[in-house]
Amino acid sequence: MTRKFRKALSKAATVSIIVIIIIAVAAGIAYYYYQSAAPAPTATTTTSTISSPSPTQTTTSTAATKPKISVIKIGLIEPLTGSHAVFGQEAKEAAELAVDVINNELGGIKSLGGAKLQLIVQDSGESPDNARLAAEKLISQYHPNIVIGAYISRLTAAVAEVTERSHTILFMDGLVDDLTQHGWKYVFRAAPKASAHGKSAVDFIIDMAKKKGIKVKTAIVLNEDSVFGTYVGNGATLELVKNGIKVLDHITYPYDISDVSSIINKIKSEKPDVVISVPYFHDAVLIAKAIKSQGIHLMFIAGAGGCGYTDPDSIKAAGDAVLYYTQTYSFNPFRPTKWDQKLVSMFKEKYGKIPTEAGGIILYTMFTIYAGLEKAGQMYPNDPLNPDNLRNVFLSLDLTDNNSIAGQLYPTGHIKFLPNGDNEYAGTAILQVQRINGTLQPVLVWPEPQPGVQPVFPRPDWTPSG
Amino acid sequence: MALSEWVRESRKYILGTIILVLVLAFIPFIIGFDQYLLLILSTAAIFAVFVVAWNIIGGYAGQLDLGAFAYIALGGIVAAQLLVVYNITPWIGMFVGAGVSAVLAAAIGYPTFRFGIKEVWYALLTAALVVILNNIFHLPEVLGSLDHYLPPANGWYYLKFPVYENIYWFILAMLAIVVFINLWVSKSKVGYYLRAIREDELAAEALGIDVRKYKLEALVLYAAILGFMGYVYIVIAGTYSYHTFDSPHSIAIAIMGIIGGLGSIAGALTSAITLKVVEEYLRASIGATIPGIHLLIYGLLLIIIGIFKPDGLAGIYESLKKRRTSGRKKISGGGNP
Repeated sequence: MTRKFRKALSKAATVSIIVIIIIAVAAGIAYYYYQSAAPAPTATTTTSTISSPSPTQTTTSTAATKPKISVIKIGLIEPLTGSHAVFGQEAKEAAELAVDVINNELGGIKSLGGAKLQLIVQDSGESPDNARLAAEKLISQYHPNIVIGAYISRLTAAVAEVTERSHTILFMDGLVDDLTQHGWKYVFRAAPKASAHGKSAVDFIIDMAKKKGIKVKTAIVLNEDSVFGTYVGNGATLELVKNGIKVLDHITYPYDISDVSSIINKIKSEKPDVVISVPYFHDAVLIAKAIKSQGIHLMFIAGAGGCGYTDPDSIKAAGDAVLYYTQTYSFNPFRPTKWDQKLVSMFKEKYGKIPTEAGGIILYTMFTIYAGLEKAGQMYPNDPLNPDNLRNVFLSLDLTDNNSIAGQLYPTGHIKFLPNGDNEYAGTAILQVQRINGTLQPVLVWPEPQPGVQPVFPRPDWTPSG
Repeated sequence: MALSEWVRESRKYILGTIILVLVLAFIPFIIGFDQYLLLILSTAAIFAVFVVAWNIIGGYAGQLDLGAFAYIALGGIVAAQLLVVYNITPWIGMFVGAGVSAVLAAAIGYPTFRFGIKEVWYALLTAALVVILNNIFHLPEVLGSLDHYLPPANGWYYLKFPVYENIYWFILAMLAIVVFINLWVSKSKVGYYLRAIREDELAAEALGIDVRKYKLEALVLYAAILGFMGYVYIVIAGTYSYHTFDSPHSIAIAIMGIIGGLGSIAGALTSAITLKVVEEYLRASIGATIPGIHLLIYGLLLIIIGIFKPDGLAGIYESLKKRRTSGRKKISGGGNP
């Protein structure tokens, strides 16, 4: 058997490697040229190499001072497969809805002659090497004017390296703080960063305590130990310390934890006034149920980080246990503005659920891009899609409820970008699980409670013993 | 084996490898330095290095090793940390990484082979190794939860470039070296011993082969190559963290090795490059339209090859030849462990 094998090796060696690889490579090249040749617009547009930052768009005249733009390409890179697919899928749905609204209902980008948005979606998979391939594919083949992606921080970082090199604007929907700290020039992030979620949860408690005349003295911070959870937890801890609240313990645990008893015992023995908890999904249910069954009565338990206690699935799984728990969100599906309500109901009609974190971020990101493109047509009529011009446009935006759809969709109603790409007025909304007409529902309680709703603080079962 | 003897015996293959690598190195000029195609080529080439290295332990020694990314990530993270913390160039760091991976392999391999852990148990052990290291590096005292970034600077000192052609050529050079190492193992006494161990470990031992020693040597060599290339993988991935200890990727390398045909360098090369290119082609073309369908098709392809060509790609040529010379007699080579 061994001899046969050696024979196969010897004969196959040179010939088969060279032939097969060359065929594979040739097929790849042929495919690539076929692909890039097919959608080539008019003769004036050449497929530019990546080093050239000039945006390629459908142009009909070369000499005219004002180029006619009919299509603006928006690339979307999201994890559509693997363990984060649920987020990527929702992001894709939200992006499709937003593009549909912008193109059909709003008539495209008016200042650019009604140019339509074209969404090009790529799957980043689960690993950064795949995310980088997705980004290179998008950039080198479709030459998008703006890219959005990629929810998970390490995937976003891989995408950002590619978009930076090709001078393409990247709107990040990854929330981890350090994504805007690498000196990347063409990145923007409308969504509140991770630590802002932790900060919001604490600010909510301090605000409520002040209104009710209660003093919060001690806290325990719990977070699942992903990079996101860590940043949220640290943001909460910093804000607690800043406000003179003693952090008795900062507990981290794996998001797929199956036994929370050691965490619960610590809470029981250290008796903090409040717990700030940064859960994923099922750990939230475990913690809430354990706290209820152990009969622990705290002043308040606030969730942070966009998922966990107030999601419809968690309420279904935990029932009464999550009553009065709160959670911070990057998107507020209950904001009483015209466009927030309109898009949420459209989303619900189309996909049968309300947009949560992943979809909501994409909605206001898309409409921020919409506002930017409208402004680009006015500010730079001759070269609106040049990435440096686009960057200036986005830096000059000041979107509020009154002047934009994006403002109406944003939890704080205000988007203005700092030079590092973060939103100066970033903030989260806080939802609380309350019993409305006998059913448990998430309702908006902060920064402005929704009509007919009052935040419940402290927890009714808490007795101020001291 | 003396070097001159090795060169004389494998002249044809050495020449073939050099021609192949030169042809591959020329591709960037044909595709006009298209960065996407270059990244595919780089990714395919680095996986080819991994699979050809895997061939030593998986192909020649017949140990189903599912722990490739334990060594890749460990070596890579060591080199990356040396660069980030001490500003030591990866040209040194990669050798340190290779050394650390080799030491780990020796530490794991010695007791493993000493206590006769083999076949499916060896596979489980190596798969567990990736998960264990993943958890160790997740501890706050090691890397913690955060994503770690290489310095933003580019250049040969950092072996990191904004474009891919340099890294691609570097990987190709490594590929040639790893193929030569494979050829050397294949033609040397060790190679024959390893194949004897693969075919029948008891018989090999009865013949007086120091089974433990040669298996350990194969494992350490494999781990050192992977550890050396780990930094290059991190350069392509962009960031490193405990996630770099990636179980699915580790299994993918073993699958590519098996599909290529155990013990066949040509098969390993072909399968790594074609499977990686096909995977990316499927992801890029239909991955976003019907999410997940590309993984389904990819899995189906693997199953089809597994059913019809259990010998791997290396067996295809052999069976064609067989058919031509001696009718339609089915061969049963390969020696799947």
